Amino acid sequence: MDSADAVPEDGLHRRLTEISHEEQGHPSRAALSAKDLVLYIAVTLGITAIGFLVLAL
Amino acid sequence: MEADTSSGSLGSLPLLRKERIWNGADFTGVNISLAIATWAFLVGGSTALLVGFQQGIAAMVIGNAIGLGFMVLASVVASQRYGVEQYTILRPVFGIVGVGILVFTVILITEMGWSSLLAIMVGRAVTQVSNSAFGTGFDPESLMVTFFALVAIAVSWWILSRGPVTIGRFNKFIAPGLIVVTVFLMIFLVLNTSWDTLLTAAPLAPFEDDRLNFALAVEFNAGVGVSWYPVMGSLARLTKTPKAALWPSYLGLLGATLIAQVVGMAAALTLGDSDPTVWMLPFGGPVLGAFILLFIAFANITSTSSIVYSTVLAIRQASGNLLSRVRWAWLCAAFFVLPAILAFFPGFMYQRFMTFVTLSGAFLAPMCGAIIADYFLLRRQRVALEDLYRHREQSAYHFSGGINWAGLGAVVVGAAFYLVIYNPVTLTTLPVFSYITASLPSAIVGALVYLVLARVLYVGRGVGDYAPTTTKVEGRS
Repeated sequence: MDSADAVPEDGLHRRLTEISHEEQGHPSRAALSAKDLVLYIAVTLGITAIGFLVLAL
Repeated sequence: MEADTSSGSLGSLPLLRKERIWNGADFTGVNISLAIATWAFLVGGSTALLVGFQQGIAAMVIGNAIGLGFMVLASVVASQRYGVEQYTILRPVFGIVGVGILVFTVILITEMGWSSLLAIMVGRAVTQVSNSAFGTGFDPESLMVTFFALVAIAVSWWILSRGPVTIGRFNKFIAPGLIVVTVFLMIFLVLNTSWDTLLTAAPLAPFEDDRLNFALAVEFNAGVGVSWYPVMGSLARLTKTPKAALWPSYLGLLGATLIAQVVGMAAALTLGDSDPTVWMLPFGGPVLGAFILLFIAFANITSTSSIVYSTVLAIRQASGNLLSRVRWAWLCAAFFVLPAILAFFPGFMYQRFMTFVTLSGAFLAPMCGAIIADYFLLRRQRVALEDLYRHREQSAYHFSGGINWAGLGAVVVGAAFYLVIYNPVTLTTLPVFSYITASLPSAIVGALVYLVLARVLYVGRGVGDYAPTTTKVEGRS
């Protein structure tokens, strides 16, 4: 079994067309929202702070 | 699944909505399965070389939180949004030739090192069982370790050459089995040691400077977090929403890694040895311990197949037409040549495990910094999907000769910055390393260099499609 494909032009074009026509605005193609990004950074910093707390205890 | 669908899932074609099969819970399971692997025990054991239990937990939490924090932003977000394999989505940051350069150097060496290490761990596990069951006296650096490591590589190659379906079949029972092993280790730790003993246990082989030991432990764990980069994006593109990619990647990997690493560190401190293959017989006895060791050996083989799969896929895609006609099985075999050679030096690979992890982190961290600066700051999360697949000058991401010099410049400067602050080979550090470590600063340096160079070289000249006029996610088809 060959497990990696080359990029067939017709398959690629069909996919790009389908994505362009049918997946506009769908949640699966949404950008990461600013709110989620801020929350993510806050959680990362929070967990890092917990690490320092463990060190200080 | 129809034929076209399955080929898209395996290769570099952008996935369609119906092909994104994982919700948040599914992807959390995938990440936990990945993280509960034997390398987590090894990292826990190696952390115990530098610091005691309490400092070790702090170092693991801080290092992994930071390393995974920027690795996830760099690897999963864009691949999820566009449904594109992670090395294809890198073309705007490094150019198609630039991606090839990174794949054939940083990514390839990183994954070859891990493969070799996992194979040697198999060799050590099997010889331990042999010593216990048959009274043989194979030492951890004997030729028999190499022999079984080579057998492990051969079996990994066989699984890999069968493709991702076979890998998935094995992983279905390996991942739950490793969770059982982790629980087993926890139970035996509770039975064989006490909280006070753990808290007062001395690190196994520390340097004289306590602050430096802690900084090295944090940096090592940050490097481990960053080293997930080569596999995460290609998995995340199978998720249904940005949230289903982001949080399970971060919290799934972090939670499972921490549990396995803490257990590994506690075992190492209790038994005074950082090698996970040494723990099982004293804890489990000759029968159960041998069974667990053999299970760990097999788990390492499937882990190797899993991590090498995405790398070999990347190699083929990054090579352009060069390797497109080479059979998959031959390509996989070629990948294993260097790990097979390294298997002849089992002691060296184990002793240099930390060096290898941190050295690969020195390059992966600024790579992540450049990717974050490109995708979030310059492109505002917009990529022209069709241009990712256009050839040569037809693509907006061709830059100069297929190389985005801002991206490669950022990696070179960021890595040089890292190696000046902390050189993992010579173990020389600047005093500032003990306060800021190296991965996060070098990622920041990589991001800043990328921002400056991209603006100077490309943005002002309208090269590289940095300010797409369309608001369409899907590009210009």
